[in-house]
Amino acid sequence: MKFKTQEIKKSILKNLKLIQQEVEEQAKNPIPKDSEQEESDDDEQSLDSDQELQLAFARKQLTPGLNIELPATKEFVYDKERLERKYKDLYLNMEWPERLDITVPKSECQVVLPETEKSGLVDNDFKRESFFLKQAELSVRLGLPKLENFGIKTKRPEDYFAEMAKSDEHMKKVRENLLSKHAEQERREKVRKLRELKKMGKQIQIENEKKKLDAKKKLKDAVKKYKKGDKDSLEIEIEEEDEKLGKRKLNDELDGHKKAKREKRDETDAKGLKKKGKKQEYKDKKYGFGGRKKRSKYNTADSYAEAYKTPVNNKKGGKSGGKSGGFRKNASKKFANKNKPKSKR
Amino acid sequence: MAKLVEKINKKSLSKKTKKVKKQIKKTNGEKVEKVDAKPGKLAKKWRNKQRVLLVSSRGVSYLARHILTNLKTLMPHTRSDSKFSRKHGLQELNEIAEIRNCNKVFYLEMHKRQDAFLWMSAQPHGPSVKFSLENMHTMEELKLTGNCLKGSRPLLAFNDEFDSEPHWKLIKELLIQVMGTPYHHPKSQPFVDHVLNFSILDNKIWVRNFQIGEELNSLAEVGPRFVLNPIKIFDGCFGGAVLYENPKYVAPVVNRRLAKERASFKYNNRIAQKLSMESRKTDGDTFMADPTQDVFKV
Repeated sequence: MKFKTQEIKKSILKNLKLIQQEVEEQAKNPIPKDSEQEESDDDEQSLDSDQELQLAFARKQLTPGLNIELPATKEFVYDKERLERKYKDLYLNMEWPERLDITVPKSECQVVLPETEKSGLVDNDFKRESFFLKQAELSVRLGLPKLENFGIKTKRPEDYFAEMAKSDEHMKKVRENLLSKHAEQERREKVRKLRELKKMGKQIQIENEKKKLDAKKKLKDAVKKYKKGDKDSLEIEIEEEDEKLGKRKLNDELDGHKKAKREKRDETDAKGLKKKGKKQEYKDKKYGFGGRKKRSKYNTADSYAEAYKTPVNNKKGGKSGGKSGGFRKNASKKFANKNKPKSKR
Repeated sequence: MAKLVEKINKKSLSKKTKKVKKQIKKTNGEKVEKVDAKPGKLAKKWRNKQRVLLVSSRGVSYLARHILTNLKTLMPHTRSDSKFSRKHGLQELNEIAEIRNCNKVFYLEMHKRQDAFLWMSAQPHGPSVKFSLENMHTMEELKLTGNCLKGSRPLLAFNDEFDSEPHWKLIKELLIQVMGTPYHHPKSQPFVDHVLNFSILDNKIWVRNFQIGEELNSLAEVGPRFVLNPIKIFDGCFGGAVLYENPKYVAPVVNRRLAKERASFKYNNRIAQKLSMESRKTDGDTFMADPTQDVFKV
């Protein structure tokens, strides 16, 4: 690759040099330039050949300087008269209930939107759709009384059953989709609230620690003062502080106990097993959990006996073995069904 | 007394019927049959006999196919035909429409399996309009939560911009006749429970379909959604003199080509920049150094 790019660079550099040379030559013997650029008036005349160019120059249609041929601008057809005539021919001259058309002024649909963001109407999905909705709403508001006037119903009676454009199955899907979206949003909100609560909890903790420190400081000060002999009645304060501290200590201890208990409870369920997270539970449900995987599907003496045991008036078939797999259950059932009288059919 | 009342009733009734008859004459002229109408009500007869041929070309993508089936469920006055091969030329559609006894044609074609075009044409004297069909969404999308009766009649809602210029006016009239379901059509339901919404934005027609809910302001979108960008209006059916050309329309092929060119410019630009940088680099001293500076030392 490097080699290639170098080659390209070389070639382009060469070209650049050539161009530079040309420019220098031009600078040495300059051509008189006119800022005006004119094209020939007639579009029909093509100015391709030299002869024609010369002729055009002779006619003074060309001035010295750079002449650029501009691409012809396309003319777009717009025959208003014929369009009007066609419209008149096409017009369906019938009463309104045959046509059911309603025209709504565009300005009334745009009232909701601020004028400054008018340009963004096409690109902004939400705004655009609300614009259409507004138009439809307005037209319905105009149209319903009109329909009533002509005795056309807009609501079907409840006992009128007919095929809908979308099947019930599809509508069920739509509803499920809506519900799942709603549930997802609720879940998110819950998580967010929990997060906020956690933040609050931490702040409270910090405040409590601060209070504890303050109390300790006060006690220390009181002791100092007593030592200096400023105060006589240290006992009361100490007692007070002691009480407070003691209580707090007790509380703390109790709290710690509770916390530990709570943690324990969180970790273990009724059987003393570690509690699983939701994700793990789901995975267990999906893939199965525990037990030996190897050789679990082998036949054993018990399983054999279970499968070929003669059923004794047991409608449900043989008892399903505790450890035997699902297919074994079915096997025994099959066997049981074989011996059943076929009177039910 | 009773007789008198009867007489008065009869008189008023006859007056009413006369009025209704007169109205019908005025509005319809000669075209419409004179029907014995009951007072206060229109005759329950299917008079507006629009039949629309709904065809697609061969080689349309799944999206266009689904849109067409959606439209078929919404428009009971359509007849469908087997997929049309573009080799035959569009004029053949006129013959098919004639055979199928249709006076409107709704033809969807696709180029390169990605650019959809829609033709709407009135038979047998035209006009026909060619649209490019953009931003298609089918009725099956789960975000569209509304539902309506199959074959119920829609209200057709338009912007007032449709009345501003002759080409929009013509397109509006064509849309009314093609998309609107005729009154008392045998396959239609006798209720109006959805609105087909046409609005002009950005020189294009945006089509939406809303269900009219129980309350006045509760509209739910049923679908399908699409945008019609008018390209040309022709005098005849699938041909004839051009009456209108959209100056703002850029063909999707051209758009794609320009995008590619732009992408290539980016690369070329980058290379050229690097090279010019290299060419501007000077090797050695950037100032006039005196070569004798270091020769004589004290």
